[in-house]
Amino acid sequence: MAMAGNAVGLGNFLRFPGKVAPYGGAFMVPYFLALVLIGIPLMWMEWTIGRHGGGYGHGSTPGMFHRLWHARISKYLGIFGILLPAMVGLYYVYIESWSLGFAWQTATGAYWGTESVEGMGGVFKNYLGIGDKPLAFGPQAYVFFLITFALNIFVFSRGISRGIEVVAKYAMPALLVMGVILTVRVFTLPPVDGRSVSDGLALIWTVKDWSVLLDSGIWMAASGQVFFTLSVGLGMVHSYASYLKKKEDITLSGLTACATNEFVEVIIGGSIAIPAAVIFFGAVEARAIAEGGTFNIGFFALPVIFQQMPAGQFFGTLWFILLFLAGLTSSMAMFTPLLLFLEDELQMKRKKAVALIAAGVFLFMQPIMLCMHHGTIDEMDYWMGEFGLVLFAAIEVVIFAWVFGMDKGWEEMHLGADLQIPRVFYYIMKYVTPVFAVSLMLWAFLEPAGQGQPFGSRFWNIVTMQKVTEQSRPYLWMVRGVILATVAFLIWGVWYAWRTHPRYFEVVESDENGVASAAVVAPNCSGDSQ
Amino acid sequence: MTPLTWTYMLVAWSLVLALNIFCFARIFRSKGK
Repeated sequence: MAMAGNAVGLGNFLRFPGKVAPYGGAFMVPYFLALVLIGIPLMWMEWTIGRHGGGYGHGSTPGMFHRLWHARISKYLGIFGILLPAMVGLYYVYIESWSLGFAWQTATGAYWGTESVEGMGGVFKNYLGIGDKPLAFGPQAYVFFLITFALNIFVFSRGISRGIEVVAKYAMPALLVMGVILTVRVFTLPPVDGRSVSDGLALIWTVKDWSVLLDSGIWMAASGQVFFTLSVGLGMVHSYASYLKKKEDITLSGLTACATNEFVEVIIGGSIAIPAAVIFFGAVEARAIAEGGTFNIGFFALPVIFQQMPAGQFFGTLWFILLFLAGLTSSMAMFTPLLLFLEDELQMKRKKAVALIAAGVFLFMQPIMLCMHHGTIDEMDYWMGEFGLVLFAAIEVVIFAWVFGMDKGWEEMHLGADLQIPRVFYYIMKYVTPVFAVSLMLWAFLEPAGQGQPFGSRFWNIVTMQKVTEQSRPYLWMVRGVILATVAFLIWGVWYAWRTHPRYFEVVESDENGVASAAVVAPNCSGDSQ
Repeated sequence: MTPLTWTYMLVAWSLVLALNIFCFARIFRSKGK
């Protein structure tokens, strides 16, 4: 349940509709192909890497990669698996708090009477405090951020089984029930100016032109969505799986997490926001709103629609609580790899590690939140949530399938398995997934900025901040500074850990419960944290 | 929405639902053992 909750997030309800809308039904072809060729295989690989490393007392990827590949560089490559979720968490928690804030605003009818999408854009900006002032500080937004931040820290500090799993146990069924209620509501909406729910579904499912499949953009968008929605290529799955015993199933559990996520994304996520927007605004305007930004449909268009439907305040509140729960079930584990790294590798006590992370994260969040009108969130999202994701995925797939070896990997994957994976996936994981992942990584470097632009121009434009105003550049450098400072700390942490207690990282066989020999397990790795 | 689009959507939904039913049926079966 916790793993399914980890996968189900804001991406299912906000990002997915926005990615499908420009392409229509043709999008689902690369989407499902990417799911089968890279999404599900990567999920299985990450579970395997996590459980394997967890057997040696490692809860984060530097130690896990070290156990797969005894090269000096492997542990340093594993840094990505701590960096990416922690950095994504820096802005994800704030975005999640907007859902809570808007649930409150909807329940109290605070924006009732603002009946245009542009007007809601103004309400949104006002909520965030974006205006002429140097800092984007909205008092209400900040209060809801503090509540969300405290909740996340509280849950994650209790560990996976006593915190994250408990929340997921209640939040996931609640989320599914809310999703189904909202889908039924949208499906039973009366037609507006002759437009019904089938027109909304048509926007997502109609294939206007198969030739769009020749456009690399649709493949990148679909693959990126699969990564983002399954939360693979981040490092969080590994930490969850590190708690499993050596012979606990991972094949069926990994596939079930993917299946649940796809149900919430393709069936529920695709049936709420876009169909409702098409009924009220028409297909052309709904597509334009969706293409305008990830949050436009969810935060601008839907609040307008809720005002026009019977019991709209109830359904609107439900919608934002749904988003909040989806966000919470993903974000509450984003700092877990860092926590486990501090506990396992740096041998820090849990209380001290939680306090250090809470203080550091809170501090780093402030400039990103308060300067978001300068593009700080977009900058962080590009480097961590887009570029870093495909880079880390390519690294881990190559290490697992080619360095550790697919034969050993396949055997490890099937220890205690409740499901025998079809043999064809052995070849997919050995050849197709690595090639796919490395191609995505190369494309992240080589993608042109637009039609007729040279290869690599998009990456180069972002690196050199070509489209950023002079005024905003220092703020984006500040974001890069936050990333680099964290990288420097993690490099030092790995170097220090391997230098101060090298015996802990020596190769030892773990017993059948997945616990490494007591003599070489670090003092804080007794499993108390579970 | 044309009949072909309905079919396309329902096939995709069915695949997703079938995968879920398969997974949960196997989980309940293995728990029952």
